[in-house]
Amino acid sequence: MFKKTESSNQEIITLVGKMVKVEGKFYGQGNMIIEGIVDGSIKTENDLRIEQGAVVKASIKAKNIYIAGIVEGNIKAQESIELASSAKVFGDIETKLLSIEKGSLFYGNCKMGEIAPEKKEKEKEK
Amino acid sequence: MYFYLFDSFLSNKKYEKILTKVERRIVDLGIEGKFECLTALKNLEELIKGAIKKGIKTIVAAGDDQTVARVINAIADSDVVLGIIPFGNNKTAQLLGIPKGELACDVISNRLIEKVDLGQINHHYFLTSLKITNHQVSLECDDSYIITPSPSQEINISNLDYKNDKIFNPQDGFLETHLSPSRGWGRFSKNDGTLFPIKKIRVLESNKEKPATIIADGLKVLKRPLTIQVAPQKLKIIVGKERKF
Repeated sequence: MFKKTESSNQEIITLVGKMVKVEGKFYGQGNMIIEGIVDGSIKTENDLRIEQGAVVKASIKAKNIYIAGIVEGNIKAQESIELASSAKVFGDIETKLLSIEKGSLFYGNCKMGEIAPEKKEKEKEK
Repeated sequence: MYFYLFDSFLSNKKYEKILTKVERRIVDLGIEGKFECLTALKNLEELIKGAIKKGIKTIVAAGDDQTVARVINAIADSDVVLGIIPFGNNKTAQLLGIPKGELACDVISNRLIEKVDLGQINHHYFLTSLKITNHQVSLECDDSYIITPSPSQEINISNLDYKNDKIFNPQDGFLETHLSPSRGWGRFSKNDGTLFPIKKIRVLESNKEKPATIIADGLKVLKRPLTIQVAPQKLKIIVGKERKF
């Protein structure tokens, strides 16, 4: 999970500030930080941080996802999802690794882990 | 063959000494060419058109940021190379690693040429950045999402810029849009605005009676509607070793 440090600031490509509203398909390739409002869908090949105070009504796809704000929509992470104590999530989660801090809210289904390709084939044969 | 275009403000006596040094250095380095000094009667676009027709391959803009911006617009659709001899306020030259005065002649002589992107607003090109203020606008980005900034925020769309250790590279095929409080640029951290890369933006003005103020490379843009996009590898430019990208 990427942490917001001085050094990581160099890697940030997309940052949605507090006073800003984004509507539509918000797709990026680099790390993204959301502090404002997003309505639609979010997709990035890298990491996504949804900060405390952010309101996201969108389906989300990213590599690692950290949530401290409010999310309404399904969330899919290639690697991990981390819910901070201030997070409120209304939607389904799909990830390899999940961390939920005490105090966070999560209403939805959760699908975790990864089935190896060989195992998948065996299951199909059965 | 070089074509040197000196801006009209250089006829001021205070530039006399430095101009003599520049001319000497040009001769010493063997990069002489045709010299023209802009006046109220000499149109920059026509002078450049004429020079290109005569087969000039390198046009050198001697002046400030606005001189460079005007020359870029005159040569953007041609194949000529741009050189700069900076005088006065020339941030563009700093970003390109070109020193002031006669030292700029050495950079021109070295001919380290880079192909760079240009920003384009309607039919107007800009190399560094564009600023939108006094606005009530939404930004439709890459035909896929709409960003609505607060009217108090300043919108900066950069192609080549250097702010707080962050370099906006003019060779990445993107323009970087930064929304910041009107006090100016902040650090790219919490509470300091919005930053996102785009290829195309349509500026949607909600109050047509009070149009936004738009300044591209120091030149005001008046024509509407406003479509801003990146023109990849549009300009060949001579740069210094100390360039920021």
